[in-house]
Amino acid sequence: MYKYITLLLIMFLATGYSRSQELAAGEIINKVNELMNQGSSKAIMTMTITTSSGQKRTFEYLTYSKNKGEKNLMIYMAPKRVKGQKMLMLNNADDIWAYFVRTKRVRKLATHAKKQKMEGSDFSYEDMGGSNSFITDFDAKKTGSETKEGYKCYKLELVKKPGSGSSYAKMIMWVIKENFVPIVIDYYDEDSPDRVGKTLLQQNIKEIDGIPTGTKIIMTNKNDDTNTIMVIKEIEYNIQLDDDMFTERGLRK
Amino acid sequence: MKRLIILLILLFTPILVFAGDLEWGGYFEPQYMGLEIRDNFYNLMSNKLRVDLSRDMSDRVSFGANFDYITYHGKTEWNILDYLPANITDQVPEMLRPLYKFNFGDMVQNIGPMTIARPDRIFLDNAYIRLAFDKFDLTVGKQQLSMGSGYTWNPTDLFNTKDVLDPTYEQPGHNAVRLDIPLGDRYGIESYLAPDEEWENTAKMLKLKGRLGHFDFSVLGLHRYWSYTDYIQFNPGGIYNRTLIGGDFAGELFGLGLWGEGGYNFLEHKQGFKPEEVKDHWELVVGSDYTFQSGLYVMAEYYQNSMAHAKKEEYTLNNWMWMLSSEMKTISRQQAFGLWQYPLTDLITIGSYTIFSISDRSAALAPMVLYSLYEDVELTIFGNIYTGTEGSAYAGNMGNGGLARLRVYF
Repeated sequence: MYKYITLLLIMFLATGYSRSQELAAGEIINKVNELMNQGSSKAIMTMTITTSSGQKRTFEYLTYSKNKGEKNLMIYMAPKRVKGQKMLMLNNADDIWAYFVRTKRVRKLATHAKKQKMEGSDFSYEDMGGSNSFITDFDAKKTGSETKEGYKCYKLELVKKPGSGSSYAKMIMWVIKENFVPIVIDYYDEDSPDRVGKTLLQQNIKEIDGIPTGTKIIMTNKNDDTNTIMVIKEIEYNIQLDDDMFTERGLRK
Repeated sequence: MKRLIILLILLFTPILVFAGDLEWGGYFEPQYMGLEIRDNFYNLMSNKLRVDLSRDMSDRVSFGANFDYITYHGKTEWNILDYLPANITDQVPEMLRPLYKFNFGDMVQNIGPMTIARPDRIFLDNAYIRLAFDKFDLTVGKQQLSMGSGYTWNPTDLFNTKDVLDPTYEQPGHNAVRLDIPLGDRYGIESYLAPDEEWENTAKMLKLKGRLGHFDFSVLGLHRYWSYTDYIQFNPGGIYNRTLIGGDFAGELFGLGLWGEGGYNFLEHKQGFKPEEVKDHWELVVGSDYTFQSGLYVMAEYYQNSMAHAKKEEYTLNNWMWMLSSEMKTISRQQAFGLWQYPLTDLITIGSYTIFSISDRSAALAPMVLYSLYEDVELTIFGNIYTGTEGSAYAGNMGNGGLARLRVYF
């Protein structure tokens, strides 16, 4: 009897395991999207740009996110040159405003501004704006499973949907099976869709408030031979944030 | 010495009042400008120290201030008549010609029989307190008032005039009370009151702003007194009541950034000088921009002012002087502005401005390089090349040359 129950249990677990292996691309990308767009968050990050000549520039900024990434606010804290500048992104980054602290001016930007490099870094504002972009702008296809950076991963191919405003033609994404962290993403530019333009790598994955979080993110630009390292110094998830922060009034505060 | 004392008072009073929580910073900006004018090459240098002070006393109360200390060197005295066409300057009587000289810094000190140019300036540019109430925000004091979605020209802004060759440079502060009332997260009211000697002359502005789809828009009414000086006789200016009804929008269409701004100006003569050409008029600007995948950013704007002239032969001395003194935004009726910028490397951005006066077929080109030299150290180099014939808005005799500006943030 005991052997019979054990056999049933093993069969049940094996079936369950095989089910998780059979997750469709859509389910995987939804889980990635859920992981990356928590209910709300507040983080302090540093971003260090290393140029091809070896020079470094370091920025520090504060980010707030609400409604699962639908609202985002970024406030530069350092260096002095940009301190106080703010970027507000609403409606999954379809509406963008910039606040220029020196002129005290709020300017509405078109979404093409997302293609611009963030303070000369290898991250564009599109890379930064938490949104449903993986779902709304791309069709996902699972192309297999691979071990990447020591993790067992799903390998997904995300191809830009017709009419999407994304600046990437395609992405190849390796998603850790255990926790759905996209550990590596290869970005293929629209201009040269057959060549990897940039690669994002997440490191130092820690459980913060029960949420697996890559606390070091490296973006390598293969075209320019430069890289940018983003480090999360502090992060809190699912906190109370006032809607007023994500308005023009909030920008001017 | 007196200036130094004022500087120290300005610097330390807020520090003493707010003790340790005061945030301070700013920048030091040495600048060199070289200009070739009629076979002579002139140098003008300046050193600007800007100190910013701020403190959030609570969630509801914040304080901000900036003061500037600027010294000018090299050729600081200019005579405007040297850059205007002969048919214009011939109208000026010989005895009035010295009146067209001006000093950078606008400061002349009389000591005994000597008149010594002291072109250095120190001034409190901004000093304001912002009070946030549940339903509205109130900002009181000297503060930047910027209006409109236009990049190079802002027809709805009757407080500032941008330098078309450097339109993003910070604007001076204005003594005002500003009221912001949010109406939900899509609408709001913005209002300014900039007091003058009399209530009638006090500038009053009321703006309703909102969001429709992916477009921001506003409609506004502004009333203030305005003066048009008689620069031929140097008589006191004609005083007008100026009422502006206008609005602006900014958003996106077919992937392109799109904005526009315009207004109709009603001018009611009150007293003094009454030039024929001053009349009710409208101004508008429309613009569009786009960022390519490569990072190349392009932008264009078109501007029209119905009070300005359509031919260079119609420009008068007063027109030129009104433009130079910001009494009028432009001298030529139709203008276009183009800009491209490209991030050559992570630290170097190159680009160029072009301003084209459609009315008189003259243009100014301003190639530029922005270089992040070190952390918090920026170098900006502009060239300026005027291509128009004498008497046009961007005439070659305005002076071709360039500007190098180093800015160190602290």
